[in-house]
Amino acid sequence: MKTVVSISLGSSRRDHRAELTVLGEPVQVSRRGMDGRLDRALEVIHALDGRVDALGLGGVDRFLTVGARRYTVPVGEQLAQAATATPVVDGSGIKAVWEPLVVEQLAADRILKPGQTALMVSALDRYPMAAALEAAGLHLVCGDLMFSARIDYPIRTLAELAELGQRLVPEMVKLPFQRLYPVGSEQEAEPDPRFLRHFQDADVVAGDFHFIRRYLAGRLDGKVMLTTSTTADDVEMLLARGLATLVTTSPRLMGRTYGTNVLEAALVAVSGVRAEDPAWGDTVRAAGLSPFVVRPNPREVRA
Amino acid sequence: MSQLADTLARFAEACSRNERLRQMNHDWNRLILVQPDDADPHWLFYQGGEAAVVEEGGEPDLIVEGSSAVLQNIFSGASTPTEPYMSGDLRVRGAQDDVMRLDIIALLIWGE
Repeated sequence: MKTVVSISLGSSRRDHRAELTVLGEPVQVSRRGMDGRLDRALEVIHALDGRVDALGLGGVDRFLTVGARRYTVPVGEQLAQAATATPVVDGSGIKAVWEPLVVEQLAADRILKPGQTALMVSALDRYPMAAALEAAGLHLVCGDLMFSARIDYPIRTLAELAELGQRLVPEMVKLPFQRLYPVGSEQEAEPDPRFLRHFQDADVVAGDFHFIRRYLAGRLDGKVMLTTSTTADDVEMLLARGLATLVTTSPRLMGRTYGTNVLEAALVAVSGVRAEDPAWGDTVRAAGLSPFVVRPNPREVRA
Repeated sequence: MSQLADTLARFAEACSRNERLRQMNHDWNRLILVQPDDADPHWLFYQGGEAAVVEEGGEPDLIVEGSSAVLQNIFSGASTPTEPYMSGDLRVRGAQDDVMRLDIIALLIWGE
């Protein structure tokens, strides 16, 4: 059986192990949180290199793609270079191909509707999802400056997001990753309510679940959430706050859903096709992936 | 007026004229001490989205230190703050969020 391991800079308390089926083949997947320790992540990647079929990076990106430009994130690149035999992926291949397809399907199913306001907690790491939401007629509110830098300035168009990304990303990626993204115990800190009104104003909350959880302070009545990497406790918490529909872009297995890096690692391990290969798009579409949708009262599960 | 004082005045004026930065900083009221290693200090004050050079301040929220040349390059837009910050040629003391905001202001203000 193929084996993939996700090395996350996040908390080890979210570690897990499960079996996925991708392209008809079972894959053993596991997550190992490094609690924010880069040195430990490098050691573990080095130790697993050549012993597993693919490695995923969680809590850090190797690449950020903003419009037509792709920026290398030095920390992510350093981690990827620690393996010389095993492919290392960060989920950007899944974000580029699969997540826009999920948005299109949700729009076709009328779960997402033109005119709704979509708060994307961080859009620079999910530009294709932001583009798909805008193309579906939703009003974007991108929270990159709010949730990464605590600057109360919502970015309201894809064009401004791209412009700001081109100015800021080449420099910001050089900063220590802890300054931009919650890692280690930060992922379990009490929610920060300072941007509550943007959650209240949104019909749809989308993006990285660690950012969402870090700032999610109020009720979610009637809202749709589009995210990844949730545990059974996370789902219960969201439903208890009145969330109308939870969509995770990855399937639910053993009570949790997986990050994009895990899905991409599994797909690369089975297919041998990488995100930079021309066949990647067809490989993703053929993989039989499906989003996980939860709607309470009655809870409807589609996997 | 020293070259750095003149540069800081133009930096503050550009901040205050820039509508996007005015919106971003509408709730950011901070006193910043710009302290060259080799010259007298300067003070920048942000309030209500506007920035100004002031004669003197009290307890600063942020302290920005480096050689006059490094500070001159950063506040004039000749170089970005990230690399001198990472190399230790630029030292910024204060709350992490304030340090990052000043980085972002410097990156956005020039070239708009």
